Amino acid sequence: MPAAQGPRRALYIRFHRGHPVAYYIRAGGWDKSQPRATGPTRCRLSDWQMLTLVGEDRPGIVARVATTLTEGGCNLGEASMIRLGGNFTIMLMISGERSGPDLERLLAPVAAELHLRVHVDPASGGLHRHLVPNIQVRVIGADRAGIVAAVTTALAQTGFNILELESDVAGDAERPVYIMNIQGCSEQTVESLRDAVAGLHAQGIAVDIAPVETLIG
Amino acid sequence: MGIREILRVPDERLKQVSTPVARFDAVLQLAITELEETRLAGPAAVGIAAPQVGWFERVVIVDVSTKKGVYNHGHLILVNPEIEHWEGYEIGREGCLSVPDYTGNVIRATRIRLTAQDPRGKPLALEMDGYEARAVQHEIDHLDGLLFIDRVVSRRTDLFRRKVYAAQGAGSGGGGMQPGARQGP
Repeated sequence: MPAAQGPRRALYIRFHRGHPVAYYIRAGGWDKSQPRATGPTRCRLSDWQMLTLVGEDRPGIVARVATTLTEGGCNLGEASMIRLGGNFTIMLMISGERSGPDLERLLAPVAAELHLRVHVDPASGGLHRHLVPNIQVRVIGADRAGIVAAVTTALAQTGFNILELESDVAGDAERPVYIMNIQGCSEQTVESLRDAVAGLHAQGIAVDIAPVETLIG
Repeated sequence: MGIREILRVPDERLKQVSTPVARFDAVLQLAITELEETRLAGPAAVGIAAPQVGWFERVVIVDVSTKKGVYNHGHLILVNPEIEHWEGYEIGREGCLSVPDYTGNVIRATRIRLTAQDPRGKPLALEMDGYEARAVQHEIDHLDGLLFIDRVVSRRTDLFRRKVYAAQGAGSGGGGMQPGARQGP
């Protein structure tokens, strides 16, 4: 129905092959026949297990573990793998019918072969529970005991919720430098957070606090 | 009434390159109005691009004036926008109406110069930086079939994706998939 017939009540736009086309009278509702995007089918189990694997790093660990889990009927949720001090570490959300001991049995052969230690915890929570950080904290200081404790305690006293924390030791063996990046949520102003960590400067710890503005477009 | 359904990943149509707008007529004005109504109906988006509602022409809307302390040009409707100059780079966190419940860090040029047309076809030339420049780059990416998730960088190491040219192809790891080919700060 490309042209208006009878009284023109309103002008409507539809997109035909990606281009806007005007209609004067809405005729029978929009075309619902367009295919809708659908994601992969996912088991909607409320219970998740948190699987932790630690061991010597080598190529192919994730592929072997993920294949074993998939072939064992498990679904994988959010995951975080990182190399720490040359070690392989990963935490994975797993759902499926298997209990914790059953998961450990499933992974035992691959864990033995790849020299991985396996740990499974029941986990509450689920997917789609992300919090968006609004504050970033960068910390640099000559490496010494207590930097993480000092900074995070100062932040915790303001109610700061850490969402991500990464730290590393840079420099060299003679002059190691501790570098830590934190992203998190806070209801305090940037100024009050800066006040909260101001005392750390006297201890040789530089703490930079900046707002994180997440752009949604 | 004028609110459109937002296409979401993994809808293949989001990878489509949009065509330039040729007709600056009443249909265009109405389509722009509906695009803006759709932006405002969703979660606090500072921009929207036509392909996000299944309209594959080069139109974006950006308005960062609601953000405190952000220098901006106000409410911008950019038709056939073209970035002509990039300067600097910085990392910032982005999300997208087409990628619900996910945010990631993306490298964007700090300062850009661009040309565009307004909804009536009048030429525009703009210079912008920071948050507004980021928003415009994010939206123009949609016109080239790119999403911010094509540009997300590691949280731990602020890695650039290496630019790989076809002539270098062998052994360089899938250069043909390089998403940032059109843009280069």
